Amino acid sequence: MNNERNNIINNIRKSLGRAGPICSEEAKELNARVNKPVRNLLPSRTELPKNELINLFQKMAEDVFATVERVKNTDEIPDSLTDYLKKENLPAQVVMSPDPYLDNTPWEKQPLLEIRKGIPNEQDMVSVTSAAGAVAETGTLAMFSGPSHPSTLNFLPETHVVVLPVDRITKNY
Amino acid sequence: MTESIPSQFKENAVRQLADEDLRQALTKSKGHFTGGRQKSIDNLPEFEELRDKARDIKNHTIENLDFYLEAYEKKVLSSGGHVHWASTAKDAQEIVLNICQTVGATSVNKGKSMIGEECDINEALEAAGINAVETDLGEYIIQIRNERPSHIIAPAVHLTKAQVEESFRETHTHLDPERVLDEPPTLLEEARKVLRKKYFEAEVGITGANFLVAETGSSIIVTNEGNGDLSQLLPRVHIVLASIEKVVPNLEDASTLLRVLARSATGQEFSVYTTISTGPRRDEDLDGPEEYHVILLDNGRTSMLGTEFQDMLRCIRCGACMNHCPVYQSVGGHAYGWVYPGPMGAVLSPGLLGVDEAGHLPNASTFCGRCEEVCPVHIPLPKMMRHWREREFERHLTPNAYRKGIQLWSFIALRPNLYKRLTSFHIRILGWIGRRRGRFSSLPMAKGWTKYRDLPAPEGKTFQKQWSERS
Amino acid sequence: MKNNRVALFITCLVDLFRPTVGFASIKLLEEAGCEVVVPRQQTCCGQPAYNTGDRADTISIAKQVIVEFEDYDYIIVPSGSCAGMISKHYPALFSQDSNWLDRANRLSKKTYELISFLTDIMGVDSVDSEFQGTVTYHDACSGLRELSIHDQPRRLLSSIDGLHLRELDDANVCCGFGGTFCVKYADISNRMVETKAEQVIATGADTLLAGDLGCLLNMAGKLQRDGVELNVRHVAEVLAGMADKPAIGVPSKD
Repeated sequence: MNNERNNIINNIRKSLGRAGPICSEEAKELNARVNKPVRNLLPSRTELPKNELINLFQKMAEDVFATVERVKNTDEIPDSLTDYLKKENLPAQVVMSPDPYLDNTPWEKQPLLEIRKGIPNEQDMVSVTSAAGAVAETGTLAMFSGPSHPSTLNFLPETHVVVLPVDRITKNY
Repeated sequence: MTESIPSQFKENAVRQLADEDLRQALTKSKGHFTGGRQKSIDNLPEFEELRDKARDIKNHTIENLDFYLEAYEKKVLSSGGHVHWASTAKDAQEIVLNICQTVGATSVNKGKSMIGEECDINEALEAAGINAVETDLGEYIIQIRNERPSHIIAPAVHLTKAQVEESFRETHTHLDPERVLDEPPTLLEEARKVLRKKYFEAEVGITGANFLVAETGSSIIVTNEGNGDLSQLLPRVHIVLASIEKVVPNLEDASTLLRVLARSATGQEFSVYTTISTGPRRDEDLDGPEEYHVILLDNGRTSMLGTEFQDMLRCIRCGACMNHCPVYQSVGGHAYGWVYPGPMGAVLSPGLLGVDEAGHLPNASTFCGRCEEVCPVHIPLPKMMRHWREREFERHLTPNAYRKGIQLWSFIALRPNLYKRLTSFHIRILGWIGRRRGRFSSLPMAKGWTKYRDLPAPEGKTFQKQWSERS
Repeated sequence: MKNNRVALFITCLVDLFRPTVGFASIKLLEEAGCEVVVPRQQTCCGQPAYNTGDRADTISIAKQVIVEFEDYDYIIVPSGSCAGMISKHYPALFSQDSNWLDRANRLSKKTYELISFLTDIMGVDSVDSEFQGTVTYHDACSGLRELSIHDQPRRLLSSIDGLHLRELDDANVCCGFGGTFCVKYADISNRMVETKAEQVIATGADTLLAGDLGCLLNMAGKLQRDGVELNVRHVAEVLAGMADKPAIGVPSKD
């Protein structure tokens, strides 16, 4: 396959009118561009005070049919979650990863809530994760995959409940 | 499946124009796409400036494509992934089959991929006895109907709800006939149920990529159903099929392109899921693929570089051009006869297949310019269609009757006195014949016109004749 | 009258099919204070050859137009597509030839479509004519997208007593003419003009206007084939108060 690779790279160079690779001077510039990204033009709709930014995130998320429930502190999370499950007629069973943020949530306040730790399987209806960040510009949640957040939790269960500390809301992506 | 090919565009178009279901389906989707795009743009004052930036990013990358591909490759390798280079669609097929056979795959999940279509991956897999399952709802629908996508982002846009329901009932025989099924959410639910099982059966997941990021060695896909994401997450092996021009320098560049992509495509502020994949699962990860392969496909693209068609490589496959194209909206995507329909297809297909095979496509345009007007990366599509026409004309591929007719007209136009003599005589005759009705319903030399329209008769003497008589 | 010597590029379609548009153009230009000349050695702008990929003939025709028209202050064209051909596409033909490129660029800068010239250059904001009825307006593609002609005809039309403008749905969508497209791909063109005709009828207007004769012949021909009684005219005819002439494709009474 090395041959194919060289063919393609050489064809590119030939078509672009270059005999060999980009000269080292230029390559340095391009490397800098790759590795030190400069912020590009950002939508100004996020030029808002912190509180308004939270509102914008909520509005944008709700515009695309997310439901948002605001709670004061982690203590209120278990009740809020079980209320939601009840309202949606979902079983009080969730799958969760060993996430430092979620681990500090007093789940014992809802003894009937069944929590399974690990990655989801076909039967899981609801997953709960935290989010590493959130983008007010579009109402988007940002998740990083890793042992504390397997990506299947985001996609497999039909319902995904995300705990988002408001200080993780940023303006733009 | 009715196989159509680009060289039979005219015949395909006639067949498609007679399809009432198609007409209904297209009428319904048209406003959804064009209205949605307009609305999302009205909500973003920076959109025009972002378009310029998006164009500049793609231009910069294309002009340094070898550098960025090598940088990207290095990063993929260092994150534990594999990079394969494929000059042709056939090469890409072989690489895919090879990977599948190495892991003993019997079933493959597919996320939506136009490069997959370009390489006929499904056919190649089926021929090798491997079951390929499309997981995108639209792709799944056309797969069970044994059809090809008719649109690059909405593969089943040519179908009415009733047609989709019918196909589901034929394939999903377990369905209760009483169950109402003709709404997209119920269809999605039904498709999900069936697909969910398959997700866990597949050993290999194949997706496309909207962008490849040199900075991180990542592939980015955008989806609305989360299907592509599961396709790449659950199987043991993830294969990314991408063409070489998908690479961008860094995540910031990808962000700018994402800002114009969804808005131009579906009118969304942002796609539901934007997933960035970098390499296989790490030791500590609980899920994700164990192997991560990227196949970089050329298939004719390097020969478009450095030509008047280079701008086409900026295309980010949003589909806005076809959503706004009155020709596409009349004949639908299947008429174009190959993977890429509409204005972007009319420029790209001759580049990848050859102008002798796909020469009809750049001709089937009124040059109305709406495609260029909405293109998020400012590709001058009409100009490039004209370039293809020039190549055809040079190579005597233009149908002889048109070639002769145009040359005759040019001959006359280049001789003003001859023009005046001929026109003042013929137009007066024509005007005289048509004076009673004011128009002709048939004229032997204008059959193409009078098949569907009357031809208004000339008023009488030509303007130039009347003017010269006055002064 | 200084610097207002205007050469009328009549366009072949107007010359052959609809001389009224030429006379209407002259009337409007003279009312705006221009001295109008009709250069004698004019035929076609070269679009048919250009859009068929015949670059050599296009270049020859373009040179002929440049020679015949370059000495005037302005070149005025009662068609967005022919005006766009001269002002936007001629320079692109001579990228390899600096002498002709200069001449093409100079011509390009002083070439205008009729209506936008009246409003944007001559500062005309109303016309002195009458019209009784409801009209709708189709934005011909080249004028709209190459020359940004949209508000200008509407502004002038709104100054006419008795004229009521009702906007057309998808007024900015192509009618299916496209020069040779309408005969090369007659079936597709038909679907496009069919859709356009339905939308025109839906406005309830009694007159359809546009600024390009190709589109007008196409739409008039379709409406008449379908037996729709609706007058189709070039916008200049109405602006010049010449709508007493028979509409396109309608026989004269005498």
